[in-house]
Amino acid sequence: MIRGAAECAGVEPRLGAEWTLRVRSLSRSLGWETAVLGGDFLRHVRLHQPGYLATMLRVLPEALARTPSDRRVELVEALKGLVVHSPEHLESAAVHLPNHMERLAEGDMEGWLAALKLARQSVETGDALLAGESVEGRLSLESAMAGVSFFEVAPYLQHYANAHCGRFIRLEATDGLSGVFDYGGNPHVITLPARLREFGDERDALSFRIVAALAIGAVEFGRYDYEGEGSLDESSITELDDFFAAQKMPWLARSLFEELERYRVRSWITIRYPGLARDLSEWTDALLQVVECRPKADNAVDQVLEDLRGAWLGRTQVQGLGQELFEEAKVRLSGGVNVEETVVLVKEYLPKLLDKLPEASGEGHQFRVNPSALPPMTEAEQEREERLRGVRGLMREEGLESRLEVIRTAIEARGQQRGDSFAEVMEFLERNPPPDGGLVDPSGSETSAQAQATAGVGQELLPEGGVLYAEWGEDIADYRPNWVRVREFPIEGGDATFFNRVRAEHGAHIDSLRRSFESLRPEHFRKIPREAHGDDLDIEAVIGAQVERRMGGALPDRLYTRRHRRERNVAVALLIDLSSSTNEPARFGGKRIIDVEKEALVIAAEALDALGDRFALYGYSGFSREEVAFFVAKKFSDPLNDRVRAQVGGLSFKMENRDGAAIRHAGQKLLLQPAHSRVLMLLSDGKPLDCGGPKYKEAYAQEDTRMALTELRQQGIRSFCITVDPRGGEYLADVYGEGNYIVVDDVARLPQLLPRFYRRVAT
Amino acid sequence: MRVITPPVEDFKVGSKPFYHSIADEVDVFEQAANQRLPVMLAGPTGCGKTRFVEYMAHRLKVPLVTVACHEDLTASDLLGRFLILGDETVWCDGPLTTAVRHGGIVYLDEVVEARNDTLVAIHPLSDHRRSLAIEKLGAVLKAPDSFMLVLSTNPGYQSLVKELKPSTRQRFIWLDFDYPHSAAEEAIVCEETGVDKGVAKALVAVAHQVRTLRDRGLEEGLSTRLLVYAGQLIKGGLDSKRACEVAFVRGLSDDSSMQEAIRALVNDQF
Repeated sequence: MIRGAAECAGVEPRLGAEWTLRVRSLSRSLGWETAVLGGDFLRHVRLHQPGYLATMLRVLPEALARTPSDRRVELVEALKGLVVHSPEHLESAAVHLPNHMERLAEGDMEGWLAALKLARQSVETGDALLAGESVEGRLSLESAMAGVSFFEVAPYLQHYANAHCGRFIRLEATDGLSGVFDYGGNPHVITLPARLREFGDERDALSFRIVAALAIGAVEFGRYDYEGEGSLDESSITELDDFFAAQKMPWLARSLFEELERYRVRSWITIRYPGLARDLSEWTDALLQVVECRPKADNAVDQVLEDLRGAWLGRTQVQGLGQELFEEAKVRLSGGVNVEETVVLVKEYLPKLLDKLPEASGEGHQFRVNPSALPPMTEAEQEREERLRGVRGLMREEGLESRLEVIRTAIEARGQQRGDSFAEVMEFLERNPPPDGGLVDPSGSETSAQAQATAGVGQELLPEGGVLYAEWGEDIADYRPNWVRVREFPIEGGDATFFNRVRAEHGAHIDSLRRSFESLRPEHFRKIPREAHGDDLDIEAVIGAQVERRMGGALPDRLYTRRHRRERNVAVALLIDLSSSTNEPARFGGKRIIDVEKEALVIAAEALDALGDRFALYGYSGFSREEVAFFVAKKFSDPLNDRVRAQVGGLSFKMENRDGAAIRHAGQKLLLQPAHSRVLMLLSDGKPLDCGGPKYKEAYAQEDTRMALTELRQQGIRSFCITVDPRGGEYLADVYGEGNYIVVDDVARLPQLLPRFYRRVAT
Repeated sequence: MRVITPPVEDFKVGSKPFYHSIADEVDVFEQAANQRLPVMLAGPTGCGKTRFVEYMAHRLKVPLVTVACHEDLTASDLLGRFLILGDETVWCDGPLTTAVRHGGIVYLDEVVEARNDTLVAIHPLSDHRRSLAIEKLGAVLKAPDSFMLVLSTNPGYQSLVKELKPSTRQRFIWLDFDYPHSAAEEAIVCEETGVDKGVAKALVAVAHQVRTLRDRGLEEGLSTRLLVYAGQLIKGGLDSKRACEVAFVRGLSDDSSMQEAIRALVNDQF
């Protein structure tokens, strides 16, 4: 069969053998049709771009494996479209397109690829666009997708949910519309669909509000206020958990409860929110017009539940037990009753549903997928799950988990759950390294979507700690969103000895600098003479006016003095580079660069303390874009005390310096300060450089740093750099701007230089 | 030298202002007036502090001089200043001096906005001395019994950045204000705007939900004053949602997601 596929492809024997080798494991699970499809594509490549045949042989199997079976033709057609005009993007497209299949509706991919205009893009830019890792790539992907995503509406729905519940309630994204009424068991979390595209127009935005209101309503109207009998079980979060667990068929009790709760919540909405109730009615009417009638359930129990939901939406063809339940729910769950009424109804009707179970089971039908309803796993299955969990753990960080799930689902869907086949796929994936993608799955996982709801623009809060920042890609002339993770770390060890030694050694310089800085402190008031309005008469002006008047002139009107208040309101962040190169000796004085930097830090801190400006002391280093370490020696709110002095003493050289991310992080902290002037002072020993990845050096690193500083400037933060790099002048003018940096080889020069620069940026 | 004091008629409260008493604030204020004690009104923006002072001035039959405090307010702005009028130098009384001369209520609204060194000028008026020293005139005015010093502050957002000096704080009877409870607020909206109970109820329901967003993205809650504005626009014939939009949705926050959330809360009701 495999040989047949290779023959179909018509490739030369060596490549044919490779194709055979690579596709063997996948064809077992993906089938003959896919092998033929792949062969057809390879023939097309050989015909038009034979030079790309080897590459496509390498990447195509995985691309097909990661694509749902019903979308593989679409994938191959999309790739074929690139063969003639954009062959250099073929590899990238094969790697990235399967990732977007879930988000792009069938037929949307072609339009999206056309919008990218790949023929005009460089390989790097095209790769970033196809991966969706550049801003333009993401935006184009968003615009190609139909409907409204959770990501778009989460910021306002978060406020909306808080207002309804009177407290903070976390919003999370889930798959599909049906999850909205699922009993989550957590009164502090509400799940909403990841994307709504029922209407395909602006009504999808309204859908989100309605769906959110229903989910919020369940919490708002006391779903979790249920008080059962007896005390709460240790393993339960709410007493409803205990109630379900106590039923003969817990999953069925829960499903019935979920359906009935729709009626109770809707009744409350009608009472409390007339506008929402009207919108809800219009929405269900419209939904019935566009949503296809669900096929008849294949068992009697599911049919009752389906009827109950259909009746809630407004369907009229309901009968039997479903009709009876509908009538009961309509009456007994209206008028604003509490959740106990729903539970009573569940208790009453659960036995009737259970009566229908044998009938359904006897026909061999499957019920809704519900973990508690499935038979226990065999030993082999458990072992496989363990293995899967292990691989998942490894792959989660690489953003591969979703691919794994697709493959697994595809395999299982075909009923070929043999361990060997699955293992072969695992091996295949492990042999093929993952593409260089974003740290966060760009498909908009629950975590990223939820976090984005609360994070600021251009950054993303991570639940495990740390913040993601965008990075400017000089190679693609665009930002890579959520590209660098900055994490804060405590400063280990250290005491005040270093700080005190610097104060002793540079006492004279510090005194000089303090005096110099104190001269920057403006008077609280300045008396402005000859004002039209003011607190006091300007005696000189009045005398002059009287003389003028007696000489026959007009009386001037500027006869008063006014007190004008000026007050310093400045916040300063001092950021020190802790890269490993700072461990090298400085040019003068026999000290290490890090010591010179820290001395400058101490002197500047003393001067700022004298001036009374709020300031913070930070250090940064790290390795790779996944781990930029940010150290806080002094927060803005901390006084300059022994603890801070000890923390400064504890600052030591680490690894690399990815300046852009550290600058952005310090900038975010500055923005939180209620100050009129915000200043970032960077103490560095050289160019930005991070050997933890292939890109962050030379032009790429300098351009990212320059863009980070530009972003800060646009947000009203002024910045300048003190460097001990004697060649700093060669690149700092481009990065920081002319006149915004000082090259020092000895901290003794700081007292003369620093006030001049500080006056410029902070007054 | 001529002294110019604005006439007392300028400060009389004409018709009786509508005020819905929430608790015992009227009794407390009257007691303070009887005992010649200064009063501090603390409460969020738009909850009725200023209306309460107007009501009490009318009730006590005294003139009311109001000063909106700001950070550039100087002692001269409160006490008065010399002016040149042709050949003549005259003294023009400031609002504090005017209130002392007329024996009325001086109401320093949002007092923490004023600088502490400015507020020191009111200290002699707020204790047993009840006197006002005007250094530039070399005069000391004794406040009549009907004179009353009333200040207001918003302890919410203002306390984040500004605080009264303890020496100022400890000179006043403190009366805490908050937004009225639902029934009272509905009655106020009905009375002030003439809208029907249903509209008032819906507006108040929105307000209560919006107020829970305070400190969760919103600096201040939705005030009764803005509800009244919305009610007036609705009564005037404007569409309810549009009235809410212009009365408070746009004004409460510059954050578009917050505006959208408040808009959705309005849509829930109308």
